[in-house]
Amino acid sequence: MIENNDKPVVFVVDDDPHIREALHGLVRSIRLNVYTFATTE
Amino acid sequence: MAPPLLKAIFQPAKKGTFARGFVVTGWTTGAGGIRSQNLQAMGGAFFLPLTTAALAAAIFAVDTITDLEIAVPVFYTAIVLLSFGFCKKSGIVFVGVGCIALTLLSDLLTANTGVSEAGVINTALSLLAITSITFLAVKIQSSKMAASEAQSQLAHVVRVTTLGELAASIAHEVNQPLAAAVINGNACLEWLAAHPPNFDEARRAVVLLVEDTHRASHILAQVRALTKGSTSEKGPLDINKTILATVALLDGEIQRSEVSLQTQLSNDLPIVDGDRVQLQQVILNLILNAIEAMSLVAAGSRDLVISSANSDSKGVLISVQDSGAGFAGKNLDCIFNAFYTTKPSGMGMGLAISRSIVENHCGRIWATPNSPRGAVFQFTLPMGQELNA
Repeated sequence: MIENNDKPVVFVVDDDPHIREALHGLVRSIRLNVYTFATTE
Repeated sequence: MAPPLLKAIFQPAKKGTFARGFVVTGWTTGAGGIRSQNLQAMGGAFFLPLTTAALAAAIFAVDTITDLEIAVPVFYTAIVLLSFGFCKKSGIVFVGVGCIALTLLSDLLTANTGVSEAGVINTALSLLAITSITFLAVKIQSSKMAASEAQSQLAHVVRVTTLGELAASIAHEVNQPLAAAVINGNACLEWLAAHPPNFDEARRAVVLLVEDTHRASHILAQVRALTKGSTSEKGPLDINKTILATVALLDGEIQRSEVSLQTQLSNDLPIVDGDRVQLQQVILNLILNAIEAMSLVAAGSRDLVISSANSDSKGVLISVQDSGAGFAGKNLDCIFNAFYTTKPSGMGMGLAISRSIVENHCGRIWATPNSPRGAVFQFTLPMGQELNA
C-alpha cells in the first residue's frame, strides 16, 4: 500500500532485482518514499 | 577416361560423406568442394598428375601410331579437365599448351604417311576443342578462387559481427552489477551524511555493494573460463551446477528474448568426469540456438526447457527443448556437420564443435523434432567410473 503523506513518491521499474534493491536504498537514503516493480504490468 | 572416374574427380564433395579422420583444410563454393589432407595422405597429390600424364601419353600414342579417321586429340580435353583438379590457372594454361603441342607433334610425326583432308579437319577441331576447354577451365578456376576469397571475407565479417554481439552482451551483463554497486555506494554516502548518520543502513548498503562487485567478478570469471584454451581439463563434475552456471550467464539474453525458461534438473544424477568449460560451451551453444530458433515465433510461445536426467546407459542425459521453427526442410543428418548452416549469418560450426566436445567425453549428441513444434537437442555423458564407485 502507498503511504499517504507529503513526501514525494518514487516508483522504480527495473527487471534486475539487484538494481531495484540498490535504487530502493538510495531513494530511501534521501528521505523519499519508494516502491519498486519488476515490470510495468 | 571413363565417365565415372571423371565424375568422381570433378563432382563436388558431399557434406556428411567424409570418413573419420578427414581434415578439412580449405573451403570452396565452386565445383571443387572441400579439399582435404586425406587426398595427400593416400598419395593423391601424385596420383592425379601421374594418371593425367599417363593418359596424355596414351592419347599421344594412339594419335601417332594408329591411323584412325577420328579426332583422337579431342580426348586431350579430358587432360585439361583433369588438370583442373590439381593446377592453378597458370598450370591449366601450361597443360592446355602442352596438349596443343602434342597434337601438332603427332601431326608432324605422321606427316609422311600422307595428309588427308579429314586429318586436317580432325586436327583443327581438336585444337579448337582443347583451346576452348582450356579457356573455360581457366575462367572457372578464376571464378572458384574469387568465390573462395569472397567466402573467407564473409566468414571474417561474420566472426567480427559475432564478436561484437558477444562483447555487447558481456558488457551488459557486467554493467548491471557495476551500476548496482555505484548506486549502493551513493546510498551509503547519503546514509553517512544524514544527521544523525544511519550506520546500520550505511553498513547494509556497503554489504550490497560488496555483493555486487563479487557478482561482476564472477561474471567475468565465467566469461574468461569460456574463452580459455581448448585443452581438455576433465575432473569430477556436477552437471546440474554446470547447467545452472551457463543459464546464469545467459540470463540477460533469455530475458531480452522474452523466452520462458524452465529447468527440470534431476537430483540423483551421478558425477561425471568432464571438462566444465567445454561442457558449458555445449550447453551455451544449444541454448543460444534455441533462443535464436524461437525469435520468429510469438513472444508468448517461446518456451525453453532445460532438463537433466539419468540416461539408460547409467550416465546423464541433458536435454534442451525449444518451441521454435523446428527442423522443417532441414536435413537432420547434416546439422552436426561442420559448415552446415541454415542461418544467413551462421558459420555452421556451433553444433559441429558441440558434437566434437561431447564425443570427446565419450558421449553422444542428437536432435529430434519437438511436439507440437520446435526441436529437442539431447546429449549423454557417461558416468565417471571411479568417481561413482
